[in-house]
Amino acid sequence: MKALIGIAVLWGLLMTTRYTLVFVGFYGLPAAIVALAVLTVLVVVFRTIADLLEPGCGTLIQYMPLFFIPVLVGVTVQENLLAEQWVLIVFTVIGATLAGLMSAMFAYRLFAGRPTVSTVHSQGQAND
Amino acid sequence: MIDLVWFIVTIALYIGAVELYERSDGKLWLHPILLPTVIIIVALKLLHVPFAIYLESVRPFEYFLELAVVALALPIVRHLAVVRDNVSAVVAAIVAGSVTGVGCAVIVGIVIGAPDAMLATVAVKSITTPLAVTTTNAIGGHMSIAAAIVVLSGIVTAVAGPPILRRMAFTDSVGIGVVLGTAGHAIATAEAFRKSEVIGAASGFAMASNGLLTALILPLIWPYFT
Repeated sequence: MKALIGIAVLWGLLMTTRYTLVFVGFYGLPAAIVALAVLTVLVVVFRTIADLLEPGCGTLIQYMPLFFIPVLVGVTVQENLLAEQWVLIVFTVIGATLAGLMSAMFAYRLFAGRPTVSTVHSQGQAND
Repeated sequence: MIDLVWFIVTIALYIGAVELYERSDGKLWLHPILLPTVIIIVALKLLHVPFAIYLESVRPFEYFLELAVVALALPIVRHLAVVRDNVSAVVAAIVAGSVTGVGCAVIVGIVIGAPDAMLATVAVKSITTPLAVTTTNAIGGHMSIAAAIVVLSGIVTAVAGPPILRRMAFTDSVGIGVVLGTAGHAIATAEAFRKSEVIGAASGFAMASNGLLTALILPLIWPYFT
């Protein structure tokens, strides 16, 4: 029941955001993402909202992978594009991802002002 | 009747895949997103079912996906505390990782003459799948290819990320989390939580905040790039 209340509140926020965006003429912004930004600010300011929404949000996030299976299955209608653009797709998945990873690591090192936590190193080795 | 069948099949496959994934101790090729997707694609091909019929059947998932995106606000706020001790490094890592990843993909796309829709598709590679799908739809990309790219990027990061970071003697737990979350989104975040709560929380924060900011900024600036 608590989960349903949480989901209903999220739905209300999403619909309000969608109609507000249409009303003010911001058609390019996805309503779900603006609603996410609004809710983030609301939860930071009013912490008690988190307690009300936690069961609903938890349920939705738990089943989130299920919700984008249909989107992934949609790859089947893009077979020709996949065949044409496979070089870009493979580069994006492997090359650009690893470039982003290395870049994030160097940027963190550059700005981090505290000693590293060596215990994590050994823990990571154990898990891999 | 067909509608109900595909809806139930998708849910059943997902539940089965979650069970298999947990029993296998998190083998990535049994990931609950990948396995049902592959099985459904093969089934649709074998049974000659058009994608439009399948899509009509699973339409409710589309609405739940939007609600799930909004629900991400709670993890973002929950993970704020983990990163606030080193805000400048966290912000620098997220911005550098995101811009480099997207920049490399878009530049290579431009060099090889990819169409605008493909550039819009790879431009969302650095954000988590639900946000990527929503954002690429807003800027004219292909939702399914964007989702596939994001999921596969997550697997690459989860598999190759930790060994690379270890080889580079990068041992800061918050840093490891931020790097994995920025490059590999939800799948890498799941791997990060398997390493430690701190790495996982930092990864979750990086994934969510990077996704939120990119998803808000990209639709506003993208028209000027195309």
